[in-house]
Amino acid sequence: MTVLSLSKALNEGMRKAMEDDSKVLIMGEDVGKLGGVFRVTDGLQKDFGEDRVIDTPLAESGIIGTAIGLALRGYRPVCEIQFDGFVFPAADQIITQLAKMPMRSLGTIKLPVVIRIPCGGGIGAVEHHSESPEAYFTHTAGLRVVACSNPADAYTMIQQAISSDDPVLFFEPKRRYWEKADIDTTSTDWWTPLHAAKVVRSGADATLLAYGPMVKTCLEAATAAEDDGRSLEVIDLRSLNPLDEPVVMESARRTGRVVVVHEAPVNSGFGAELAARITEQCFYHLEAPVLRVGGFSTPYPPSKLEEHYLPDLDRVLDAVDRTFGY
Amino acid sequence: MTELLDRSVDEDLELMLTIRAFERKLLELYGQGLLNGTTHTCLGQEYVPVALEALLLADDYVFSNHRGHGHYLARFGDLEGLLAEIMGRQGAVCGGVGGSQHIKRGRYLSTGVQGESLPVAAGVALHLKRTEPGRLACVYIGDGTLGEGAVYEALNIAALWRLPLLVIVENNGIAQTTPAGIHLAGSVAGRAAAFGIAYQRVDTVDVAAIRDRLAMPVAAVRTGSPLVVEFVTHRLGPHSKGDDTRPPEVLRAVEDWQAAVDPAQSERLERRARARVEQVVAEVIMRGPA
Amino acid sequence: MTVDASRGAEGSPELVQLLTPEGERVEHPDYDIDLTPEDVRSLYRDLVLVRRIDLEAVALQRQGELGIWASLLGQEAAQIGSGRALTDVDMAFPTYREHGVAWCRDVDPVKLLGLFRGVNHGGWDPKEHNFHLYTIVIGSQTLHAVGYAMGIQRDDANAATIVYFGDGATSQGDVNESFIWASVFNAPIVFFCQNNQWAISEPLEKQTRIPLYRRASGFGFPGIRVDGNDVFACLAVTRKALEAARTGQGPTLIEAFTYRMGAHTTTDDPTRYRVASELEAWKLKDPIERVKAYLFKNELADQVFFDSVDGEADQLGADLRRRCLAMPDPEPLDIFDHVYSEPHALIDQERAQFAAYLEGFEK
Repeated sequence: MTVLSLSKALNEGMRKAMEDDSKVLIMGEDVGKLGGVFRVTDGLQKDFGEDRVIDTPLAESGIIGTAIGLALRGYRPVCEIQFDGFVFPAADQIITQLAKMPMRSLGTIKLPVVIRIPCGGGIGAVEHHSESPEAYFTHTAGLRVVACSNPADAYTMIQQAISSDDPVLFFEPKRRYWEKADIDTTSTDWWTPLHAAKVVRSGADATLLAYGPMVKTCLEAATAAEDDGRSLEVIDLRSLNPLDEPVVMESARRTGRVVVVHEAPVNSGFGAELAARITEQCFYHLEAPVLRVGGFSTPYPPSKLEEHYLPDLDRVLDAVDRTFGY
Repeated sequence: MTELLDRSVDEDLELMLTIRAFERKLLELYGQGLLNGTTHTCLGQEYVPVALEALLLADDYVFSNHRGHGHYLARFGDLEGLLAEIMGRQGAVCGGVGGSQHIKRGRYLSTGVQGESLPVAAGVALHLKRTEPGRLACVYIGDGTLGEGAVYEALNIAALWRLPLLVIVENNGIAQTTPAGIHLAGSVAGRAAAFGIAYQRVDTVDVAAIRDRLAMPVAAVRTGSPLVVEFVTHRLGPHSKGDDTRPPEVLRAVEDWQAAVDPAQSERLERRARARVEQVVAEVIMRGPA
Repeated sequence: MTVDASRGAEGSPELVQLLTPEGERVEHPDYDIDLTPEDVRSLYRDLVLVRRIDLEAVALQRQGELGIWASLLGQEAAQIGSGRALTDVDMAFPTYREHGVAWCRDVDPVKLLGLFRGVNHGGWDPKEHNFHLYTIVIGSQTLHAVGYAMGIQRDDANAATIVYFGDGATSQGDVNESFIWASVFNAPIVFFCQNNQWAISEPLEKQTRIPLYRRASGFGFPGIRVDGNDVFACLAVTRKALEAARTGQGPTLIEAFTYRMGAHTTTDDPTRYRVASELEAWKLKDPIERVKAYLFKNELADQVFFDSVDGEADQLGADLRRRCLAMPDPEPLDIFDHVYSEPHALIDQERAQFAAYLEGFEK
């Protein structure tokens, strides 16, 4: 077992992938010499060279556009978008080209491109550095969208994402980068499939659905709820597209109460999709409507206000209370 | 403009030293955990906005970037408002919601995302051309910003529509951590020429000489001849905090304008600048939240 | 600063030309080319055949068999000249108008029609032909091409990439980013800009203040303007630029100065924005007529040859029409195919639900 922080776990995962397959490339702004602003790619350029760990010009559309070209030539680029709010200059290449080109080609083209995006708030950052843009991409057919919440998943999921033949948007919870865990890097027996959800805490009374940074918040909420005599189940979705529906629906039917938690604004957020699907498939099992806890329908606020914007333990438990009020 | 051009050398120098003292103080406050998030200092580049300020009119627009404290202070001299903004205290110029790199004050606007201000500035320049002839939009970008495609969409539009757009490229030779040799192909002059835009290169730190050199070209901007001015300058500090990949010997060799100032004069003015900054910090830090 | 963006046109020393509109062969110090009579006849045949493919497609659209068509009329020399400069291992990235380049890459013309008939979004295998799919969004493919060229570099392959785009695309951010990347990484790529003078209804002077080929120098690589209606010059200039790319000398921008003689697409009406005299002037510079004149004057071909090419073109047109009409419509469940390369639960679920729904009608 090795103790790794979430950022180091990603680093190790990418290192393994690069060792296993010489076609794997890293590209992004400041990923080489600096090792990325969060040091996730630290040391990789030193060990794999400038041809495989590419410091790119400051051009997000360029990063994704050229990654597509490299993938057409048989490479597997792993792109870093420096911060969530900087993905939008690349949105055209992601949505219009990366997502759609394989279908356009009647399957003759595969685009194994991974786009890593440090996301979410909680680090006291300035504007554009704390956003949760996942729903823009779950809405786009042709992309796979996953989010890791802990070091072990970070380590396995990044390798699985790189080995996927489809484009994967890989969301990393930046405020959890420094959390540590014991990881077995010698075996793959314990790995969970990339698109499988995980029940990370079993419970009987209500289900909390979360991904990325909010999984930890939900686990804390579940611990606190225990004191009130409520048994909360927490599911780490891990994959948003595709969604592991059987795990979600089984839990919803069993507990009858579901609260979805994410940092992104509630309005048209991924929680809306979950609420709709659960309602369609579990209507007669539900004791209460599916409730959503998330950011407000505002731009991300200045960091002095972020603690009010971000869902925390109390806001999660408030929603749990409300589901028991029906 | 003439009235501003008459500013004494001491005034200019004191303003430059005040910007420097202010930013050094910010880094100190971060070090003490008194500030949140991150900041980008313009240490070494202070003379750029100070020199330009004399060429700008009060109702010109100025678009700043993530490295904008100097731009703001050169324009408004408002230490209190900016510090309160960064600290989220009462009296903050944007009510504390803008922070270090998102400031709006009258016709001054800064934003942190690379290259996004240039198309906006071009739009404002079009508006000025139509409604307030003689006014211009000045936009600051860095050499790293030249990687963004939006820059060229805006330059092309400015050339096509003959917009009063003044683009200041503060070329400090390094984009965050990526040296310009790696990300900048060709030259800044070539990029301007590629779109038919006039270009000036400034490689001196002498404020008076810069103003002499740029007075006519900036006047031409006001009549609809867009201009790119490249300041060959040097970033003394890191991109934000703690991300300087340049080796120590390279950092030591970085040219600093302050080294060229008469030591006695420098010391006298620096003392005053520091005292003022200390006073402002002591006062703002006591204020309640914005 | 006033610079006329169209400077360097006909008769200017800035324009590389090897064959005048009158069919006179001219020498150029930097770009000579040695063509056998058979080479010239073969170029002529290609020019005629792709014009015929294009005419047939326009007719098919007019008759309701295609939803839309983007005509290459007037740009045959730029496309055949540059397309014939490619070797088998070179890779080409087209816009949606490079039917002539597709012909040079052995893409069956009927496969081009699938996209415009609404049968598919692109019906050929890019790897089989080293000819990428048509890209409809303006300028996006320039970045794909640079990335591909960076891959060639990493493979240490003796190959180059060519990317096609139009004059309007040069205003796009992506195209400018691709210039930066290609230059910074010294990528083996040729940027082939067909300046056909019109971006739908907007003339060149609404896109640029300076000649487009000069953009390149601002990004640190050479740019050259070639007579886009001169198939010899396009072949020579592209060949040289590709060779430079293959030998590590980095990118070149070629501006092929040509004219869109037809509409932007079949949904467009150029009479609303341009005068007839402009078209008449360009007709005198027709890319096919000058080769024909050259062959005649130099007695390299006789009427029998020209008649046989025309006959072949008629046959090709008729064959294209027949096979277009015979193209099967896709099945409803094809919607779900190839969205992902690996199995995807949501797609599988929706396919099954839609199949069940459709079956409900059959019962």
